[in-house]
Amino acid sequence: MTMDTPKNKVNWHLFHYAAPSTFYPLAGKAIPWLMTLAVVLAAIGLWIGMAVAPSDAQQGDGYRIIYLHVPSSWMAMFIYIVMAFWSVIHLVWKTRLSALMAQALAPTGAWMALMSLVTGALWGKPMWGTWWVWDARLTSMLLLFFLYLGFIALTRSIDDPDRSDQAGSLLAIVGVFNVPVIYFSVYWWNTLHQGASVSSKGSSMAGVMLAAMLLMSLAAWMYSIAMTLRRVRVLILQREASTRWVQELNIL
Amino acid sequence: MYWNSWSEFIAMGGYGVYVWGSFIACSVAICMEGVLLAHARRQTMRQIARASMLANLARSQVAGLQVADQHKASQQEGAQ
Repeated sequence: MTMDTPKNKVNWHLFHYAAPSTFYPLAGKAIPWLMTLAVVLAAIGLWIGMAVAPSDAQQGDGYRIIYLHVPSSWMAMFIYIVMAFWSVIHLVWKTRLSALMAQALAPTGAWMALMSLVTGALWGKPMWGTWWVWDARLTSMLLLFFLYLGFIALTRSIDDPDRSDQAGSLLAIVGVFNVPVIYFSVYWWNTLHQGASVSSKGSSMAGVMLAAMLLMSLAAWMYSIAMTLRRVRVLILQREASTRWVQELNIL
Repeated sequence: MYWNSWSEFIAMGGYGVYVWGSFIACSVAICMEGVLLAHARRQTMRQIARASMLANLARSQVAGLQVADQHKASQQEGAQ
């Protein structure tokens, strides 16, 4: 490959980090920083949310579950969108790394969806008097969890990497239409779940509570990125096991 | 600081079971994700180690056979 013309140089920069052998060490360097950031943000967020913030006028101290529930719900939805994004990139440009990114995101998304469902049930029991109702918000969130599990099962059940990547990408893109359904379900249907406290129109929450929730959300972001990078490194090693650069990594 | 005592903090205004239950559930989930990922990484490392060992073995055997062939050829030359 020649790289003398400026045009080629730009392409080279764009796709340089798309090569698994270049991306692998780069991701490895970023992980400890992201994890540290996640821990620090969560520590500050939890201090403000659990120790400084007052109790809620209606929900007493039970509302404090939102510091776990809202960030995990947001991440569960957002990770699926990112997964669909990488899937589109994979189908359009056939880049190997983008399919692996989608596959690395899925388990973290599934864990986030599960955390959202469990903390939601633990909030529902004292507030609504029931662990679970089949209403639009809860059901669409459960569907998101199953979409993650389906994606993981599908990509792992197909041995041929190319076909596995392609099938996974298609499922991720088809399933992404569930995300706006989750988000807008509280407006579209008459649900038991309360409306959004934070939206583009501003926030109905007290400043301290909002600060704690946003800090926890940022922590969830950093954690998710770190875990995804850790997982994509394992996936890269599996895919490239027979290549020279992996054999020369000296990981024994 | 909102709380007056530890017991007040633990009780969470009567919601303690649900609030701390949520914290335990999320901690378990995060630990499980970490453990599963570490396990997958270790397993992958072992596979790569095995693969590279086999590749080295095959390479050395091929090299060994070549040496043997050369030796045989030189012996035959010597006999003629």
